[in-house]
Amino acid sequence: MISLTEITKTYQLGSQEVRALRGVSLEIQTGEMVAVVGHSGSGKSTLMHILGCLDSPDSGSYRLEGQDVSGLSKNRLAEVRNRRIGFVFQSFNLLPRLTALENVELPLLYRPGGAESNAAARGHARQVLERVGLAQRLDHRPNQLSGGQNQRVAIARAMVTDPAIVLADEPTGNLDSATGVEIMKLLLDLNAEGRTVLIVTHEPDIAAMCRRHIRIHDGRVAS
Amino acid sequence: MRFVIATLKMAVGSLALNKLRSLLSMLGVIIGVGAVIAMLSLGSAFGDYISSQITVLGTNVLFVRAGQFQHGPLNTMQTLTVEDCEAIMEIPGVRAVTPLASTSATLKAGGNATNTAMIWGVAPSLGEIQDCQIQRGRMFNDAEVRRQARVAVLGPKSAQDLFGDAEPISQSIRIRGVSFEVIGLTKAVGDQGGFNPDDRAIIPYTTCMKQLPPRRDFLPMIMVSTFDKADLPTVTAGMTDTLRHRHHMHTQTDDDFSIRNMAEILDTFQAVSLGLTMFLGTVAGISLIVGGIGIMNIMLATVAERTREIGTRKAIGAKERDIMSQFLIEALVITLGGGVVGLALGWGLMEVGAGIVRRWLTLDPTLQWWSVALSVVISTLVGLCSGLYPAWRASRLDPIVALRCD
Ligand SMILES: Nc1ncnc2c1ncn2[C@@H]1O[C@H](COP(=O)(O)OP(=O)(O)OP(=O)(O)O)[C@@H](O)[C@H]1O
Ligand SMILES: [Mg+2]
Repeated sequence: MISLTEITKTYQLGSQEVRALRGVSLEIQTGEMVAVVGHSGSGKSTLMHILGCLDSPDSGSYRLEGQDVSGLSKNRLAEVRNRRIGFVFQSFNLLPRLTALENVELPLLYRPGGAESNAAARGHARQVLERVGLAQRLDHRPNQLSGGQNQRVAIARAMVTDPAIVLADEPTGNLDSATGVEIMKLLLDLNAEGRTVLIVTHEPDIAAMCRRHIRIHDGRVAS
Repeated sequence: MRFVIATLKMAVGSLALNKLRSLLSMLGVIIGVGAVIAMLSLGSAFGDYISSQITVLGTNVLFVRAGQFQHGPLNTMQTLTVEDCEAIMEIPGVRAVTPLASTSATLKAGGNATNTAMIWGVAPSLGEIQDCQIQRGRMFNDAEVRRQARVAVLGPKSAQDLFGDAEPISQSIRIRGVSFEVIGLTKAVGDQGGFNPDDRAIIPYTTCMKQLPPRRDFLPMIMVSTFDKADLPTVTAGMTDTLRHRHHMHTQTDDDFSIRNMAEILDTFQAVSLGLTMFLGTVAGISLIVGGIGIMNIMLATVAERTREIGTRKAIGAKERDIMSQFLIEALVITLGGGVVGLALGWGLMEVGAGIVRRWLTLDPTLQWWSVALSVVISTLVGLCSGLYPAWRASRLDPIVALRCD
């Protein structure tokens, strides 16, 4: 499913070089539930960005579902993100001026050709919101929802395109532990449907809910 | 399409959220488009007026008026005579001369039909001065002028009012209690704004002066045409000399007549019209440039403010061209909104402008479809010019940097 070999990524900060990833190799099978752990600054987010095709590595190869994505154009990468990958962020990253329903619908708008009709897209977005338990909150804006509810909307947005991979960078980082567990349950549900789920987390009890752990240390896979 | 509609909704929503800011950013386009619309409508109305005056009054026409304006009402002046007309005819360059005794009166036909029309008492030579072709019947002749014949040539509107679709020729009409025989009908030329040649009765000037009350012996006006526009100054000078000589005037005294040059008046109008056009054109150009820069500035600020939103959109699959069109659409919503308000402003300016010049001449500017189309085109162009760079910047934002920005 996911196969990384000797991935490196170096950021240029003025004259200083920051080597965020120094040769990461790993394999992840379809349907795995993986916790990515490690110290702050070890390169977890950088790894997630590369896995999510938001960023490209300086060297090494990345095969996603058998396809080498290093050579893809920006447009093709956008399509991969839209069709194959769902993102969940620590700070939700919902668009503040849109309602929950509109936020969830957004990825469908970027589908080329617009194969789905307006009503179908809306209906689908509504269904997904119902699944995360927000049937009563469709027309609320992010500032009218709690943090946990916002993260549910964000998960619904990640689900709406039916992605094979869900990447969550500290999805519970901004939530209390009870709410965090609820969000984890949603992510576990997604995994139970056969999706590959990767979660970056600092919290041991969250990590404990995942079958496999990948520890990043100083830009390398430690275990 | 779905994307465009959704983006439009969002753009309108964010503009509505920031009403004052939106209005301020639109201001340049509003003023610019307003000025363009006003300029073009007024300019074309002016142009129409001038060309209609030229066709109806002729370009090589001089009006001699009895007395000066400050001397008092035209009809009380006793300085111009028929003999003056004959003397003017002798001046080199003069093509035709006619006395002009004009008034306005109610025409009556049998039954109750009435029509208020201009009455022009002239000589048959009017046809050589002004475009007034006869469509049916005939113009009166010199013999009829000499014997003060009660004959009239009607404009088509007057004839229609009085006789409907019946044949007006040989019918009898009454003007101030005097009855006339209709002998001709002029061709329709249309209302010229304050002066409608189609609503006019042309009668011999002798009949007008001697038989229509109030009777008088002196001419109020003389119309003169020259062979060429270039003859106008020499003919004007010649007429001044001839009339002063005939009126036995001292060198120091003012003329007891005044000569107005139709071409000069029209030239003045044309210069005014050009000046107005240039002024409004400059205002439009500056406002559009300044407005465009303002919108670019606001769009750049918007892009900076919404870096995170752009990163998020890219993460969920927006392509560069999606982000680009989103911000272009937002810029276009601002400029097209400004264009619509500007169109209304231009309409208002046009009416105000027409209202001001209506003290001197009747101007009837209308908002034409092409000015609506033009304001759309201008707004779109300004939107594209000012939105392109910010939208490009937005589309090129690195999603990683954009997502990290908090
Ligand atoms: N755009 C960038 N420019 C420069 N340096 C960067 C950039 N992005 C990340 N880095 C650096 O790369 C290293 C890894 O960052 P990364 O965000 O991947 O760490 P992380 O493991 O996610 O940390 P945290 O647990 O605090 O989120 C850090 O030292 C960071 O400062
Ligand atoms: Mg991180």
